[in-house]
Parts: sequence; structure tokens; C-alpha cells
Amino acid sequence: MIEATNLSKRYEDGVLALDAFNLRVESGRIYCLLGANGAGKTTTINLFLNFIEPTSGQAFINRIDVARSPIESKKYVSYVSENVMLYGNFTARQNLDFFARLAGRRDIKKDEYYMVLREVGLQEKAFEQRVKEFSKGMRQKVGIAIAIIKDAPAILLDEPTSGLDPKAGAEFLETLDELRQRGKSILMSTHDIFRAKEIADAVGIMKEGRKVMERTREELEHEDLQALYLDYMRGGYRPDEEKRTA
Amino acid sequence: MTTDADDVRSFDQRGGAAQPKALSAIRTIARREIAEQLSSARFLIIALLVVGLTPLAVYVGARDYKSRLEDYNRLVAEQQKMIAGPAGREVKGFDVGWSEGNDLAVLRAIRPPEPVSALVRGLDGALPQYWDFSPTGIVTGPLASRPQRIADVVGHLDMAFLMRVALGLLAILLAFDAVAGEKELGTLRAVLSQPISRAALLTGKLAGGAVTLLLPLAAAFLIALISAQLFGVDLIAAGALAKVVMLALTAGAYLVCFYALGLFVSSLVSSQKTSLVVLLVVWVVAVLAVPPIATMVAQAASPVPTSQYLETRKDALDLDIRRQAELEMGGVYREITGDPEGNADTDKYYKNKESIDRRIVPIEVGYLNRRRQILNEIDRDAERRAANQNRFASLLMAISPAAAFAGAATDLAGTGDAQYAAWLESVRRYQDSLNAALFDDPPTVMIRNRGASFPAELRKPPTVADLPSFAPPRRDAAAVLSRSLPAIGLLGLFTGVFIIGGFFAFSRYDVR
Repeated sequence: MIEATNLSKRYEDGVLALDAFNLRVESGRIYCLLGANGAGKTTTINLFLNFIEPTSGQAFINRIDVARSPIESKKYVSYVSENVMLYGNFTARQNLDFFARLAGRRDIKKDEYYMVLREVGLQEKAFEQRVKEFSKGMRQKVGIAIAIIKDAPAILLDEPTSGLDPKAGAEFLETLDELRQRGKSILMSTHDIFRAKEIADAVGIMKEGRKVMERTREELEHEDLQALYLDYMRGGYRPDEEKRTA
Repeated sequence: MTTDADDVRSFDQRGGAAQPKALSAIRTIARREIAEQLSSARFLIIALLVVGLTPLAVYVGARDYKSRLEDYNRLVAEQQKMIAGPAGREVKGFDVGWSEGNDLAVLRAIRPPEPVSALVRGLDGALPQYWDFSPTGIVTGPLASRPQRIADVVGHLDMAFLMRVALGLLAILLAFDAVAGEKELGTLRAVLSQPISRAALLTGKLAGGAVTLLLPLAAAFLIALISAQLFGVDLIAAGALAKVVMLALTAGAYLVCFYALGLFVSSLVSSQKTSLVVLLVVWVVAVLAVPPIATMVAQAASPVPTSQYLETRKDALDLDIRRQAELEMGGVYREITGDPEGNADTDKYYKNKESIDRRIVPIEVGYLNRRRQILNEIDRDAERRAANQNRFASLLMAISPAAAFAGAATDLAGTGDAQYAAWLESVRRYQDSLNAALFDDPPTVMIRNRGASFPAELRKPPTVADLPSFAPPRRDAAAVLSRSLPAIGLLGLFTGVFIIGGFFAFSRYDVR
């Protein structure tokens, strides 16, 4: 489970990047955070990964307070960034092996790595190729493979579909769905309203560090997410909307 | 649908992501670092350069050492021959300067060249071949090697140079992007999203970098040992090998020091370009600028008189006291022989030998002792000034790990300033013991007269065996290690500061 309670972050320059943010992503659910650049999406993910310390509030991974036990909490979370960056001189399998070992998974056979790479849709011939020759979509697949091999119950995705071609994007959503089926709690920040609507169990819109709206999949069946998003982006902050938080 | 608790339980039961032990994480990071670095162009180019230049450096060093060894063996053979001859059986104690048959060469302290100078030249060629001991003090022999003008200007290519300059540069080039580069690449976030501490990550990087650097270092030293053997210098002999091993370990510590500096700087900045520029500037200053600047400042702040000035001053003082002695002697001659010029030809001398010797000998011995005392004071003063200048220069150089390494390497090789100081100390002690045993109460004094000199036998001359023997400074591995400890300690201090600084900076590093 991924959870935030009154999570806030004010940077040293005084900017309030996140303001009393609340969130709960249960097992087998995908939560999409939407918002413009600087809305606080990446700050939220950075707080869940303990890359930055919260000013107040708490972030939990698997009920472990991230700020108090950062290393323990990272046992239970996988992270896939916008541009999955890997070690260019290593092959896809070697990168997988490296990150699996760091995650504490040892004694994984080569075939198991191949199986996971196959699962995420990477071509067989690319398994033992250096990743510096990989396209963004291929790197993204390796990034997801790293998350799968770690097999952590929580997954954080920071704008993972940005820059992917339609086919790669569609494949990516299939993989996400598969992970949801396996009971993972998934938090994904994205600009991609259409894919968010397609895959998310719940969507939150962020603006200036605050979550200004939250809708479940069921609620969105009767609403136009794009129109809602644009409305919230044009309009001001409407705190009454927060009361709808599940 | 599974619940959170079910999912986590099954995750833990699978051993899914058991938190890796710190050591295992460090090993994983280190292995990746090594694999990455070993395949990098910068590593291959510099490592091949060092490994390729090593036999050449050893060849030049071995040739120089062997020529000095030949000179040494020749001087020792000559001395042995003299000791076996009349000069060895009767040490009359004539002054070197004006005795025709200089019997004092039997007491000469001949300095053997240091075999490890084939690897680290240091001062070994720039020190005297020998020292003579005379009634008028220590006489320094010629330098062991001829000045090599170009090499003396631009620096000698030896193992210490290759380690200090080339591998030092490699350490910087391997470390500059270790943190800032990974941040730019994005892999730092990926790695730190795993359950490992920042300390473990940096330790892994440090260990990986150290192992990477130790590979060309070990290869270079192995090649150096083989090359030295091929070029006729036995460094496998127990004492020499221990020094070479200590030298290699110190070089390893130096490389770790520079690598730690690289990690420190890389953890302070967010751009690898900035890190590279800062580190290159630090490298140039530490390796190329600090040693000459420190020497220059020390020379300006604490000048040492030139040899020419010292000789002129000694001559002038000698002239003064000699004139005084000669005036006294002239009076004695005039009185005893009646010669108005104060001269005594051979006939007159031998005719009045007993009365002349009785009165002239105290004047002559007094002159020699006074001269020895005055010249000794001048030499000691010059040495004190030189030592002060050296101390000052060393103090200024203490800001550079490269200078600390140069000091440690030459001292460990037995070719450094500490070894020179130890030789001077031994030589001075020997002169003091010879003063007491021979010169203060000489068995023979040359009674000088204008244009002639006559030996006056005062007592039975001792044999070489009767006199104290010269005790050269210790050259064994334990002795050179104890002399190198200050420089090694300084190097260790730098390494410690850089490692602690690196960990501190990385613990606060913004990985976003």
C-alpha cells in the first residue's frame, strides 16, 4: 500500500512544492496523478523514495514511514522514472541482474531474467545487447522488468509514458494492468489524460502543490476527465473538491 | 483481489526483496564500477601508457644505478687496497689538502648506491659518492651522477613519476563523474530507489575505483621488478623487495587518496563538467604547481648561501688564522735558525728539528683544530639553513597529496631527503669520533715551511683497525619505513579527510 498523510514539502528557497497532500493506494489499484509541470507530482514521488525529506506529514510504503525507515521502506517499492536510465555499457540482462542484486535478489538464473524481459515485450535479440543502443521504449521495458524482478508490492511510476510511441504506450498499459492483477499498488504521475483514464482506478489532479480533485474510475465514467482537467487548470484552487477524496 | 497484507506476506515469503546485506550491496556496486571502468577508453589509454613506459623508466634507472655501482665498487676496491698497504697500517692523519700521499682515504666513507633507485631515483644520483675526514673537517666528494641537464629541468621519468602524475591523473579521470555523472545520467535515482544506504553506495564506488586503480599499479610494479631483473638490478633480494612492496602499497594509498578526492568533489557539484574542471585544476596545482612553488617560496624566505660563497668565506677565514699561525711560526724559525726571513730549509730544519718541532707543533695543531672548528661552524650553519629551508618547503608542500607521496616514495626507496639527512648525521658523528681518536692529538703533523713541509712524528700512528669504523645509516626496510612515516601519515590524513568529506557531502547530495 502507498499512503500519504498531510504530506508537505517546502524547499529551502521558500517554495511550497507540496501542501498537506493525502493519498491512499490499495493493493491491486492504480492511482494516476495528473497536473502541469511544477504541480508537485514528482515531489510526491521523491518523498515516497526519501530523495527529499518532508517538511511535515508522513509518507508510507507498506505502512512503513519512509522518512523514519527509508531503507526498510525501499524493500517494498519499485520505481520507474520518465526516462529509464540504465548503465549503457551493460546489456539488458546485466542491468536487470545489477538492480536485482541491489534489491536483495540473488541467485536468479539467466533464464529467469530472459523470462521477465520476454514478459515486458523486449525482443529476444536485445537481451544481450548493450542498452546504450536502446530506444526510449526499450529502456522503459527494461525499467519495468527491473520492477517486476524486484517483485515489490508498491510501484511508483514518474511520467512513464511520456515520449512513447502509441504501440509502446499500449504495451506499457498492458503490462501495468498485468501488475495490477498481481495485486501491486501503483502510483503513476502523468500528463497523459487519455492513458490515465484508460488504466487508472482513481485519478487525482494536482495544482500548485495541492490535490485539487480526485475521481474514481466509476465517477469518471460519467465525466469528461479532459474537460475536468482543463477546468481545474484554468480555474483556481477549489478546496471543497478535496472533500470528495475517497 | 489480494489484500495488502496477503501481498506483502507472500512477497516476504518469496524472499522477494530481502534487504541486501550492506556488504553484498557494496560488492555489487564495486563489481559494476570495476566492469565499467575497465572497459572505458580513459582507463585503457592511461593504463597502457603507464605499463608501456615502465620498462623504459626502469631501463634508464637501472643504467644510472649500475654506473654508480661501478664507481662505488671501484672506490671500495681502491680503499681496500690502501688499507692493505702502508696507509692502512699507519694512519698518520695528514691533512687532505696539502699532503701528497693522502693516507686519509683509508677512512673515507663511501656511499653505496641504493638498488631501489632504479625505480625511484630521488636524490640518489645527486648526493656525494663519498666523504673524507681530515684534520680540517669533512671534505665532500663529487656527486654520484653527472648532472643530466634536460632530465634535471623537466623531471626524471621513474616509477614515482608514473604513479604520481599518470596514475594520479587516471584516479581523477575515473572519479570525476562517479556521483555527478550518475546524477546527470539518471542512474543515481534508480540505484538509490533500491534498499541500500548512500554510505554503502559510496563505499562500493570507492572499493571499485580502488581495485580498478590497483590493477595497473600492480601490473606496473610487476613489470618493473621483472625489467629490473632483466637489466641487471636485483630487486628480488629480501631488503629491496620489502622496500618495493612498501612503495607499491604507498602508491596504492596515493591513488585511493586521489580517487577519494574525486568522489568528494563529484559529491559536491551537480554537473560532471564542473567536477572535471575542478579536479583538473586541483590536480595541476597539487601535482605540478605546489612542489616548485613551495621550493621557490622557501628559497626566497629562508635563503641558503651558495657553495661558492661558503668556499670564499672559508678561504678568507682560513687565510686569517693561517697568517696568524705562519707569523708565529716565522718568529720561531727566526729565533731558532737565525734566518731573517723566518725560513728553514731542509738542512736547517733537520739540524734544529727537535727544538723546532717542540715549538711549531703546538702552533700547527692549534691552527688545524681552530680551522676545523671554524669551518665546521660554517658548514653546520649552512646545513642548518638548508634544513630550515627544507622544512619550510616541506611544510608548504604539505598542502599537496602529490608532494606527500613524492616524499614518502623517495624515503621508502632510500633515495629521499631523510636518507640524505641520515648520511650527513653519520658522517658528522664519524668526524667527531675521528677528532677524538686521531685529529685532536695527531700522530704526525706536517711542519710547514715556505715551499716545503716536513713530517713531525709525535706518536706511533694507529692502524685503520685501531680507529673507529664508519657506521653508515641503516638502509633496511624497517629503517626506511620509520623515516617515511611522517610522509605516509600525511598521505593517510589526506585520504581520510577526502573519504570523510565525500561521505558527508554525499549524505547531503541532492539526487533529484
